[in-house]
Parts: sequence; C-alpha cells; structure tokens
Amino acid sequence: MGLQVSSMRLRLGVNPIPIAIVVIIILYSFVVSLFAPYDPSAWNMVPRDQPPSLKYPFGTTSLGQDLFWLCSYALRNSIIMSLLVSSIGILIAIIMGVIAGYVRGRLSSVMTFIIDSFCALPALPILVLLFMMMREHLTPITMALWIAIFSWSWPARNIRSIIFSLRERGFTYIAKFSGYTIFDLIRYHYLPYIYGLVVTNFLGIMLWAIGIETTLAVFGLISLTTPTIGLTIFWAMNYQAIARGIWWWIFFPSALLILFIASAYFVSLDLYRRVYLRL
Amino acid sequence: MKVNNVTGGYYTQKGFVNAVNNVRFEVLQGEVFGIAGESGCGKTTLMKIIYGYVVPPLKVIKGTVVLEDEQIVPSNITLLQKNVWWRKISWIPQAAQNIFNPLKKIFDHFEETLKSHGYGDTPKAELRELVEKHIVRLGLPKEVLDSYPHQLSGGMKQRVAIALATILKPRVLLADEPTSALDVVVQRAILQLLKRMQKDFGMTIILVSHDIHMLGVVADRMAIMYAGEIVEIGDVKSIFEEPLHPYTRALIESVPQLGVKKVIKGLAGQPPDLLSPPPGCRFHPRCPFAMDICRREKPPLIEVGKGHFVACWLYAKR
Amino acid sequence: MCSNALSTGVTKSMIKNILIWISKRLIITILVIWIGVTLLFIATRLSPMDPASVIIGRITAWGAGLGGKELEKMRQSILQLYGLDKPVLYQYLDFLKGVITWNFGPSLAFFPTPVIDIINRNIWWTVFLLLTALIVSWILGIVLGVLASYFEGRISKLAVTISSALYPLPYVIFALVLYMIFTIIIPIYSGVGGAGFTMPSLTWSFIVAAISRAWLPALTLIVLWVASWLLTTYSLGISLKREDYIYYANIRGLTRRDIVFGYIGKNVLLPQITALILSLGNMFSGALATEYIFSYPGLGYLILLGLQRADYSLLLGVCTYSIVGVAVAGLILDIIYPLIDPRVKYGFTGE
Repeated sequence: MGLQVSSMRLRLGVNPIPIAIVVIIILYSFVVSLFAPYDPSAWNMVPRDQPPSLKYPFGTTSLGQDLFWLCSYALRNSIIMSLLVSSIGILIAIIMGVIAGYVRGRLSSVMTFIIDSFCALPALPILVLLFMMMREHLTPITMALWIAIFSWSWPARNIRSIIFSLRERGFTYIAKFSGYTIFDLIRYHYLPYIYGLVVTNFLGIMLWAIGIETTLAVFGLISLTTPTIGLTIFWAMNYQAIARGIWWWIFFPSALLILFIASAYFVSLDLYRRVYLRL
Repeated sequence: MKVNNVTGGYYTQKGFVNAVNNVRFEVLQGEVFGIAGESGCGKTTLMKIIYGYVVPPLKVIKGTVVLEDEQIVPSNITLLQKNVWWRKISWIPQAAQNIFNPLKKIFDHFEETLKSHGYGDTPKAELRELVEKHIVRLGLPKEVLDSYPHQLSGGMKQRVAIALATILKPRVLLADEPTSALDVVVQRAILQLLKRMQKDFGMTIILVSHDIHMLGVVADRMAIMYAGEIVEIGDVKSIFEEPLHPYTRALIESVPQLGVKKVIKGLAGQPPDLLSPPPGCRFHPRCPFAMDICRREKPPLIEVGKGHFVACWLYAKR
Repeated sequence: MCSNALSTGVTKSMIKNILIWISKRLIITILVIWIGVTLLFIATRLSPMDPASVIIGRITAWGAGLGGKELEKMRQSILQLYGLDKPVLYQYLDFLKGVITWNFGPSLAFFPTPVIDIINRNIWWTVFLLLTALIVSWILGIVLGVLASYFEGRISKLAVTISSALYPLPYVIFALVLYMIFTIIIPIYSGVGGAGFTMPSLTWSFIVAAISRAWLPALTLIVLWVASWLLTTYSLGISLKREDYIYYANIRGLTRRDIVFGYIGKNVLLPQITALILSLGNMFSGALATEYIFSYPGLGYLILLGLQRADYSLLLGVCTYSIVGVAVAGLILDIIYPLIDPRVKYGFTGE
C-alpha cells in the first residue's frame, strides 16, 4: 500500500492521501448534510449526552443534537464562510499587490506601506471588538466582509514581491519597447505566474479564515443561529462538556476540523511545489 | 601531476552525461598549464575531478589522478579534505562574486580555513600576522581583511580569492576562469598575480578558460578540450604557430586581433549534447575536414611534433 | 581604490545609515499605530443604537447591582468616553487624545476602576508567557530547521511533515486538544479557573503557581511556533545550500560544524529576525486565543471578562495595548537589526 502511494506520488507529482481526505470531508459536509433526517441545529431532537454508538456515531450534545449530522452541517458552514472570506480577500490582495508591485515612486511606497501596516496589526483583538460592537447585525456576508479586511495583507505582500521582480526582468523592458500596453503585458506575461500564486494564496486565506472564524465563534461572537464548528465548541465549553465527561462534543468537531485543515494545507503545499517547480 | 585516462560524468534522470571522456595528460612541476575550450565542454567537471571533489551526482567511472605520489582519484574525500586540499592543491573558483560568506569578514574566511588545516591551536594574533604578510606580499591593501565581501569590487574579490587559495602555499593551483566577467585592466592584474605565484612560490598552475588568447599569454603548455575530450596538447608557442586540430584553429581565429583586417569565420553548429554524444570523433559534425573514418572511429592522441599531441584523423594513420 | 569603503570602524557614514534607518522605522511605527487605532474608532461607531443605552442595558441585564446614582454616573462617563454629544470629528480627536495620554477611562464591569489599572495588573502574565514561548520556540525552531535542511534525511522529512500538519491549525482547537489530553488522558494539568488577579511577586510559591498555570498554554504556543519556524528555516536552508559560498566552503575543507553554524546558521538568522518582526501580530493573536481557552490570567482572560460582562472600555483598552505592544516590539527588533546585519551597517558600496 505504501509502495502504491509513493509511486502514485512520483507519477502525478502529488500526494494522494491529503487529497482523498479533503474530498471525503467535503463530501461529508456538503452532500451528507443534505440527507439529515432532522434539522441538525435544532435543540432537543435526540436524547442528550449520549456517548458515541451505532445509533449516534458521534454521540449527542447537551442540547439534544445529533453530533454526526450537526458536524456535517457545521463544517459546511465553516467552509462556505471561509470561501467567502477568501474570495473577497484574494480580490483585494490582487489589486493591492499588483498596483504596489508595478508602479514606481511615491504611489508604490504608499501602497507598500499600507500593505505592511495591515500585516503588522494584530487581527484578532480588533476583530473581537468589531464583532462585539456589531453583534446584533451580523449576517454571514458581513462577517465574511470584516474578516476579509484582515485577510488580504500577506497575500498582497507575496503578489507585490513577485510582480516587482517580474517588472524588473528583461522581458518587461523588451515588451514595453515593442509597444505592448500595460494590459497586454499583464495578460500575456505576468498572468501565468500569477495564476499559481493566486491559487495557493486563495487556499492560504481559506485556511486562515477558518481558523479566525472558529476562534471568534468559540468566543461566542458570531451569529448564534448558523452553526459552525467553532460555535459547536462554544456551546460545548459553555456547558462544561469536558468537566462533565462529554468529551465527544469537543473531540469530533475538533478532529474533523484538524483533519480538514491539515490535509488542505498539504494539498496547497503540493500545488505550490508543482506551480513553482514548473516555473 | 598525471591525469590517466579519466572518464567521468553525471548521473541524471535522463541518463549519464559523459562530461569527461578518456582524458589523459601530464602537468609538469612549476609550469602554467592551460586548458581551453568552450563553455559546456567539460572543463569545470575536469577541474572538479583533478581536485578530487567527486561528490554525487558526479562520478568517475574510470581512470586515476595522481599528484606526485599522492592519489587524488579515486580517494576518500574526508582524507583529501584533511591532508590534500588547500595544502597540496588549491582552487580558485569561477566568478568570485558570491563565494564569500556575506556575513563574515574577509579575515574570518582566512582564519577558519587555516584552522581547518592544522592551525587550530595557533593564537589569533599570530594567524593575523601571517595572513597580513601574505596579503601584502600579493599587493593587496591590509584593510581588505576587515571588510565584508559586499564592500569589495569584483576584481578585488578575485584577488582575495587567489590570496585565500595560496595561503598554505600549495604545490598546485587550479584556476577556473579567473578573469571572466572582469574588465581588461583587472584581468591583467590578475594574470600578473598568477604569474608571480608561479615565479615566487614555484607553484604549478592549471588554468582553465574559454579565452585561448588569454591562455596564450600566461601559459607555458596547454590542452584544448572539446565535448569532454582532449583534442590537442602542446606548448603554447607550437599551438599558436602551428595549430594542428581544426577546432584549435577555429578557436584561435575566432578572436579579432589588432591590426589584422580580416573577416572572422565562426564555427557553424553547436557543441554536442553530452548525454548522447556523436560516434567517432566528437567534433566531426562541425569539422570542415570531416572524413568517413571520423564518423566511425575515435582518433587516438598521438605525438606529432616534440611534445605536441593531437587527436585527429588528419594526422593519425590507420 | 576602495580604502574608504573598507574601513569598518565607527564612521560618520555608519552612524548616518543607522540613524536614517531608525527614524524611518519610528515614523512607520507611529503611522501603523495610528491606522490601527483609527480602525478601532470605526469599530466603536458601528453599533447604530446609542451605545450608552446598549451598554447600560447589557450591564444591568447581567445583574450588576448598581443604584440610580451610579448608573447615571456611568452613563455620563460613557457619554464622555465616546463623546457622543459632539460631532464625529471631535469624537475622533478625543479618542486619539485618549490614546496619546494613555487614558481609556473607567472599566464598565468594574466601575470606576480605570481600565489601565486592570490591564496593567494582568499584562505581566501575558508578557511572561509570550516572551518565554517566543524565545524557546524561535531558537528551537531555527536550530531544528537548520539541522533538517543540512541533513535532509528521513528524520528531517518526518519533522517537516509533522510541522506542516501542525502549522495551519487554529490555536483554540489545538489548545483544546492539548487540554483534553492533559486533563483526561494524562491528568497532570489543573491550573484552570480562578486566581485571576494575583499580583506577580518573586516569592517561591508564586513562581511555582505561575509555572503550573502556564506550562500548558506555553506548550501549546511553543509547539505551534516551533512548527512554523522549523518550516520556514528549513526552506530557507535548502535554498541557501545552493549558494556558491556553501560550495566554496566545502571545497576549502571546512568542517561540517563550521558550515552548519557559520554559514547556513548565520545566513538563516537574519531573514528569520525579519520574519519574526513581521509575525509579531499573528503570534500575539495566537497567544490571546490560547490564554482565553486556558483562562490564563493575561490579556486573553481580560477579553473573556470583557465579552462576558459587555465591558467595551476594557476591550478597547486591550485592543489598543495589543496594537501598540506589537508595533513597539517590532520597532525594538527593527532597531536591533542593523546592528547585526553588516550589509546595512556598512552600507552597500560594492562595484
């Protein structure tokens, strides 16, 4: 079995195990959740505090929720939220990064400064304050927006440095002297490099966003109606799950999240290697 | 030093790149021996082998390299590191731009090299004096020792590299393209420095370059290399007055000379891919005199004049 | 020829280089703090309802038994704090004034204790945790990373794989996992709960109590940070190995030890200091999240309290402390940097 994996790895250039795990978890969260026999987030649907068994594979919570269906639903929401954040964030990052890397002089310094400032700010305390202030008015979209405001700085930095080095390379000068416009330049010469960078950073923001959203949820700051992994853990902590011996309430959501994040990260590493090795 | 029928190359994913094929020559004590050839002809690989720096993916398949009574190839690298490197034979690398640790002063480089080769217990002050004397003797300013590499110009770095290579007064000095990427004024200074090494310290210098005329100026004898093989060996005067191999001739004529108004003919074609070199004489695809036998069999290295060897079917008799 | 540039004593140009560097960084730090603080101001204005009523409503809902007079005093101080009777620009300037004079008003949950007093009592716990975890993990991570990049064997690859799995995990989740491991499976941690506001003192009992409280949060941070430093150092070391001067060092016959420490190690250190400066924000956030989970009596715990008791002033204070703290720490490291990197100190003359 190990031999098959390593030979597949050599042939495709990627490690299939993390990809498999990611796919399974995505199927679990998106497809399985559609088949839930009851509303997973509603309370008192099933007997409380049942340990994992054949009937309730992940056990049940003190709120009377079936953890198996709940986790699938919660994971789905967490992933969707992070996708939202990532989409907005990567857009901002590309705009900021490309401008900062391409223009010269004052504008470039100012843009670079803005990017570096956002990198330097500690995101969590500010988001905590923000979410606390807006508690009543948070919808998933607005949450994603605010989190996205802190998500774009590192990817923008990466993009900026790559654009900057591309700009200095020979073919930029040649193209310019041959009469290419800026847009042609970007489209034909820069974009191939940027595609790979964008995909890797998109995944990077996604993983960071899941982490932040989970953290904010554990602090109890997100809307209490949309269950996410973090919110599940929030309730578990509020009900003293560990002290009362209901370990599964924390274990299964955490384990699923860890599996997803670690595997997704390995996939992004493989992607990064493929993209940059080709370059 | 004797290089005896050395064949070596690199194992790559695509196969074996035969960078050095059946190379045989001798370097006499106290002379400046030049090796001329295009980029990619295997000169640097040959240098590595002569030095004994045979680490994977480089592999020597056949042959030996012997310095006086010391066998360099094949040999154990750790032993070479301890006894031979820098003491008996030393190396000046190509393009000394990035060979110094950017975070260490120049003197530190000398200190650590000395410490690795037997001066471990010597007090720092003594080492310092030793290095200063050496540096000054070579015409470099003392202040160089306290500088960081980024503060020095390219030419200065090359000269420091020569100083560093000669600190233990080795018998043999290997210089890999010591003057490329430098302007002519600095080139001259470097060559003069090398000549001084030969005269004052009695060092044997093996000089590798693509610039055959530069070699003509400093070398006593030289070998011409093409596609991993030696095609001609001889003393500099004979080679320039009477170049035997067509490739040698092309190399000499490819550089414009003062006062000569003539159209320069380059050589058509490219050096062969060493992964699958052409059969027979490796030069035949580009040779204006190629005959049928050149395509089939390799010409042996035979002596034509006094000490003048050539590997070409124009001279060898079947 | 280049003798002026070669001198490495304390020259005028060297001092000039350093001063220029420091003053640039100082200005940037102040600007960064200003941007962060402005974001906080925007945050406080995001609730469309009258904050004073909201705040009081929340506090009384919590059952803080205050009489009418005290409620009115609180109302006044909230109005003053937020300057809600003046136009926005004046509110902003008052707010900035508060930050510059380092006065965040009284805490709402512990009225009338000033926010600063509360934070100052707890901040040392955070500083202690952060410094210890940071130093240990940075050094350990870099050393392991350098060794892994030099040897590149199976153990190295394993270490890199494990680090890659740990690196992207959220702090709260990892903290919970460790908590469960060390309270349920191997029950040796018990420091959670209570004892929030003990003043640090140099008594033996305090030190023991502090360590028994702090070791698990510290372990959480150290493991995650070592993973991160190991990964970055490893990739740095791998790319460094291709540099010409490593090759030349090998040829010169330098020992393995020389190369690992003097060549790879030294050249890895400088970029990692820069990386450290840049990660301070993230590391700080991580520390806060970890403290929250363990109810460790530092700033993280204050966030817990502030959230529970709707103490906006306290939260504002913690946020400002965070922004300023991270920015100043970055500035200090930024100032040390040119003293270590000879390329900055001695300017770049070259050719």
